[in-house]
Amino acid sequence: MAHNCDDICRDLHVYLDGETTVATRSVIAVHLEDCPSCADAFHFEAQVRLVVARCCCEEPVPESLRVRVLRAIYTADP
Amino acid sequence: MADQATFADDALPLMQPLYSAALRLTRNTADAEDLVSETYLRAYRSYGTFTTGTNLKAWMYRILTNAYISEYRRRQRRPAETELGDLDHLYLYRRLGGDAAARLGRSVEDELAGLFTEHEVKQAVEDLPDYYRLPVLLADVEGFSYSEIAEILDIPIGTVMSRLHRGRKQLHKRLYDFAARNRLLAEEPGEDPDDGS
Repeated sequence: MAHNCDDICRDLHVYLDGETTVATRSVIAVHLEDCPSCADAFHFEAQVRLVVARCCCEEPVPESLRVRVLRAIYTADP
Repeated sequence: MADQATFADDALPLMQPLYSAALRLTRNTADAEDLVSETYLRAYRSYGTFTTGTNLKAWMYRILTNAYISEYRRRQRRPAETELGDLDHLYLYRRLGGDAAARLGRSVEDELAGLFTEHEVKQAVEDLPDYYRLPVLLADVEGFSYSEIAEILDIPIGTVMSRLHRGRKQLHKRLYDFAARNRLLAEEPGEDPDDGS
């Protein structure tokens, strides 16, 4: 069964989320092996996500916050 | 049933991702610290209701988002929902990455690093309205599944999917605006703006 690039790209984000069915996943994987332009688009989107994730997840926790949380827990009424 | 005595050992390792999410939600360090502190206190008090062996990280995020919604969101101006129209699903790629040949030896990662700054990426996420920002953070930064996000935010999976879809489009639109502006600035002749003569 042939799948055109529009259909494949419509599922791009769900595929990158790892939330497609197993059947759809393998259809997309096969298509990506044969279609450099879709493969390039998928790779680009995956990299955009990595950039967003990296920029948003490396916030160092202030030591004062750790102390504050521990103190709150140990002095809290159970 | 989880034991309150083990709470600190179990939950403290999660503070770094929770604090990062709190910063993106509240947009400032003072409120983010208050939010994380409130989250831990609420979590500690109800730790007896947590089932050991289930997903502690998702449970903590649920408390964080509930605390955020009840304590902070109402204080903030509600950003207007921008009309996205029919942005296509490869919006950013077609504008910024579509020319693989032009990239030649450069990796996509290097290419992206030159398009917008870390600060602009954070800004783009923070500019999303809550109903998009929460699912996008949970999926794209924390890697939660659709069903975990549905449980954390207490919304149906279909709603998670549609908000993620629209939220990512809006995020990409914003990133493109930053990239386009940066490109424009880079192309301008190097005139010194302070040169008042």
